[in-house]
Amino acid sequence: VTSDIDVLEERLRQTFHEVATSSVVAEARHHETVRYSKPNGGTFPWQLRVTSIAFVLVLVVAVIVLVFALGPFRAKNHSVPVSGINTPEARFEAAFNRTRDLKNYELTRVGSPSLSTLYDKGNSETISGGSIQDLTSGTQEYIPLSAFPSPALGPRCVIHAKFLSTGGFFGLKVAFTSLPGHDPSHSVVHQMGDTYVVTSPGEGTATYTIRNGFIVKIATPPSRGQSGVMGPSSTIELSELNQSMKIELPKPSEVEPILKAALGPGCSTGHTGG
Amino acid sequence: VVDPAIGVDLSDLFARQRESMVRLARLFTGSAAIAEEIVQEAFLKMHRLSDAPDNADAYLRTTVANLSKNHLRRLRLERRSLPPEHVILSAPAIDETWATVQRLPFRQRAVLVLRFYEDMSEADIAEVLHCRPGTVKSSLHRGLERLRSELS
Repeated sequence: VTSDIDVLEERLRQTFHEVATSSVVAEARHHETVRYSKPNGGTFPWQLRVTSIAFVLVLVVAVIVLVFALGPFRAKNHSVPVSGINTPEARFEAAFNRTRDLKNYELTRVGSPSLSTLYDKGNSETISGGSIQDLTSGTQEYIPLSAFPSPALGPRCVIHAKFLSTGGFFGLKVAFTSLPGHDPSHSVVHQMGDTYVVTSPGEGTATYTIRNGFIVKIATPPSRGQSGVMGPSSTIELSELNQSMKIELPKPSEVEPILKAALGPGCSTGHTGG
Repeated sequence: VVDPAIGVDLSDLFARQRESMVRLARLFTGSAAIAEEIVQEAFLKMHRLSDAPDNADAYLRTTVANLSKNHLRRLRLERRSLPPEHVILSAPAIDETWATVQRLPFRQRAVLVLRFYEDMSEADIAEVLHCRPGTVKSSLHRGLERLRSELS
């Protein structure tokens, strides 16, 4: 046993001496190995370095996802519901959803949004085609709806529907049906402040109806035209071709009684021409 | 040059002990580069002393042992991911012995180094490692037993 211990101790002495005095060349390589483990050197083993880089990348991706999920896009959608929706169909539906309080109307889609139909259930009318402008988005974008023949309406019609935010109300502003036999694309509704100017290429009587204080539907049976202030079941006449018709929108204080009247039975007298 | 703060001739101490301390730290840590850093730090610690130690050489050796121990403890996790160290030795038996020594706990390794490289007594080793002589004796015994079992 003593001999074994002596041999081991001698081996240890020799080992320690060899290691302590081993060549600098060998240590240089060793130095490269342990350099990464300096406590204050700021460097790490390559495995840790790769792990750190991957961790940072994951963090960056997570931050980007959070920014897109919770950032300005979402806030924009909340503040302006219509904007930020890219497809015409989605924009049309989002805009029309604002009029969901208009119980008597429903949106019937025929194929694409360009063939969508506004159906007045209360009067069994169909108002087809037109365009919708969302003025609250600030972009003044039009979503074109192609006019197409409708048996209920006669030959053709055009709707210029405008969504406005006036006094905190949203709604479908103007619906205009042209005279039969005339090109509905020439029927124009211009907004001049709170006043709408409707120009029709046709001749006859325009009957317009206010629904919820915001829907104006103008039908054009043949008669002389006139201008009128909007109200339930009002009728105007178009005197000549291409005559402009001035429509004064109600003030916000006047909306409430009009709205009540519009929601009541028999408040709509709109008829299509032709 | 006598350090005015502690009254120790650090230049003389450095000239006499620097190389031997580097070798000792190298045996403690297994790395010459780290050993040099530890010895450098040990001398800096002595320079910052406000009172002169009774035995500058012993104090320096103790400081090197403590710094080596702290360094190994700090790098324990990182060392797991490090590749094996490359030390060129003269014989495979020596290489095998050194590899086995490196796997020992620090106290056992330090006791072996101080005993068989520095030829220190168990009492002196206890003073350097801040432990009782009995602890040194048991560490020496366990270290030798483990070496014997792994090298046999």
